[in-house]
Amino acid sequence: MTHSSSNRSFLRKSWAAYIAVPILFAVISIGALFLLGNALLSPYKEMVGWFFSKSEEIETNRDLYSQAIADAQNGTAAQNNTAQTIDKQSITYPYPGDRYGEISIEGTTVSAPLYYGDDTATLNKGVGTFKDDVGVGIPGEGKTILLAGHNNTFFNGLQQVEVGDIVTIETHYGTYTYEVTDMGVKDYQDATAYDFTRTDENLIMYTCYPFDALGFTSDRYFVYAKYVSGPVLVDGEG
Amino acid sequence: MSKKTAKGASNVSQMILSYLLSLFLVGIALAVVLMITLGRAGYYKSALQKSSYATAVYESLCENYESYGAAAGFSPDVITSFISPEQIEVDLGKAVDAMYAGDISMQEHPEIHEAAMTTMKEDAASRGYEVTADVESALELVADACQADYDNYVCVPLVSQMAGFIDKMEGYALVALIVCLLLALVSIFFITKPRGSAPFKVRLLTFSLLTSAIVCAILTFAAYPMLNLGNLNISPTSLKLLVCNYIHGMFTSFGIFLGIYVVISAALIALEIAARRKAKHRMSKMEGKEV
Repeated sequence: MTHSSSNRSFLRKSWAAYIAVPILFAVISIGALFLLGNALLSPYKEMVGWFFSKSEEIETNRDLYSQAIADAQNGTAAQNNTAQTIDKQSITYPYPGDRYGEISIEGTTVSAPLYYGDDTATLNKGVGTFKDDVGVGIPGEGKTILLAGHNNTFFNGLQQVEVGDIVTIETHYGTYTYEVTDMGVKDYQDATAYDFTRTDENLIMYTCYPFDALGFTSDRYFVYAKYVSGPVLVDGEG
Repeated sequence: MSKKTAKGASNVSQMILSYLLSLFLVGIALAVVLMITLGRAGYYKSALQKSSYATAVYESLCENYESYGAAAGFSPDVITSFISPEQIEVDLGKAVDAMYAGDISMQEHPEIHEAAMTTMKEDAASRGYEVTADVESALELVADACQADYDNYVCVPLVSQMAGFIDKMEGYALVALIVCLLLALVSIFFITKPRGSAPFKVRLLTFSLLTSAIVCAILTFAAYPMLNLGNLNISPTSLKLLVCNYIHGMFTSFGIFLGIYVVISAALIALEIAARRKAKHRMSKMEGKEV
């Protein structure tokens, strides 16, 4: 039997042809499809790759404050909370959503967890720290610290604040105190309510006003306080 | 050309036709899959349901409403009482239907505004508050915010991109289906028409069907895992889940054609087996007579 006739016999009679031929055809088709797809999609490869790029995994919604307390109790705390200055590089700077402290005001019911950032989810959990301006910061940075809280929950006690009251902010890197200097009601769009160009550390707390209002109002209740004590965050020293 | 060469050339051309038929059959499968998935509102709705998209939207809305309530004097239970995952699912379905009807504008839900106002007024009254005109204006702002959030969240994800893509694909899929059907029929005609062994013609058709079945099997079972959509870097998670479920469903739809092609192939192979048995029986009968 010649080679060509044996081939024909394989194709026409052999049961193995039912496996070999379709597999061969399928391999050719898929190979061609792959090459065609590659040619058509290569201009979009980078764009598609971006959708699959894994950005550095950042742990969010951390509780830095509770961790610091636990470390202190275990004797593994890195920070000396009585220091007057702390190297900024040595502390864990909070990410948006991180809890980094606790705020309380003597003589009032204000006692709430303190978070970095002030989005909706954060304000549902505690007092938020405004972060979207270069002139604002966290305690110790020597900038304006702007804190927001809901009037019906965490900052309801602001209505009890009086001039001279001490505000205590315990953070995962140190404890800060501020003395209340002024309070007032201003419109939420009043740009004179805060000054982000100040280079001395100062604290502003605000909430919706009136405290027992129903619905949204345009007024906000501002409480202003000056820095009294707490470690200063410095770059490259400590 | 000698008889042997002519016969060889005819076999090669028939094998080429068989291969081309398999391509057209895969083309038919692809076109139909596109039409029954991308082309159907019901498919999008089922993908939304599978990815629990409505529940994720409900949770996001509750988070926002809770914040509004804390600022406006209403408890979380009250301010979230007028929305539900079931209603959100229904509204998402309506948004999908609207998109497939050509309307990609954001669907508005004034009923949310009304429900929010009614709920807040009733709660205020139950707590002894008098709802004056000023209070009503302040409540209107809350209701506006609730409706704005609802309108923004309860919408078809990627609606403008989807609508444009669906429009294009529906057109192409229909054309592709018609073209592939015609070409498949032409291929079948040219495979079966010429003089030659009928069993070989049946074999050629079976080769095509089995090839298409293999390609459909790869698309059904192997293509989706190879895409590695688990590494997609999009948020929120519910949207990523929706995209994964949507695309996964499209690939598994090829299973329908896998089944069809396998069944027809099996029938043709069974035909060949029966024909061979008959021929064998005839041969042995003839040999018996000669003896």
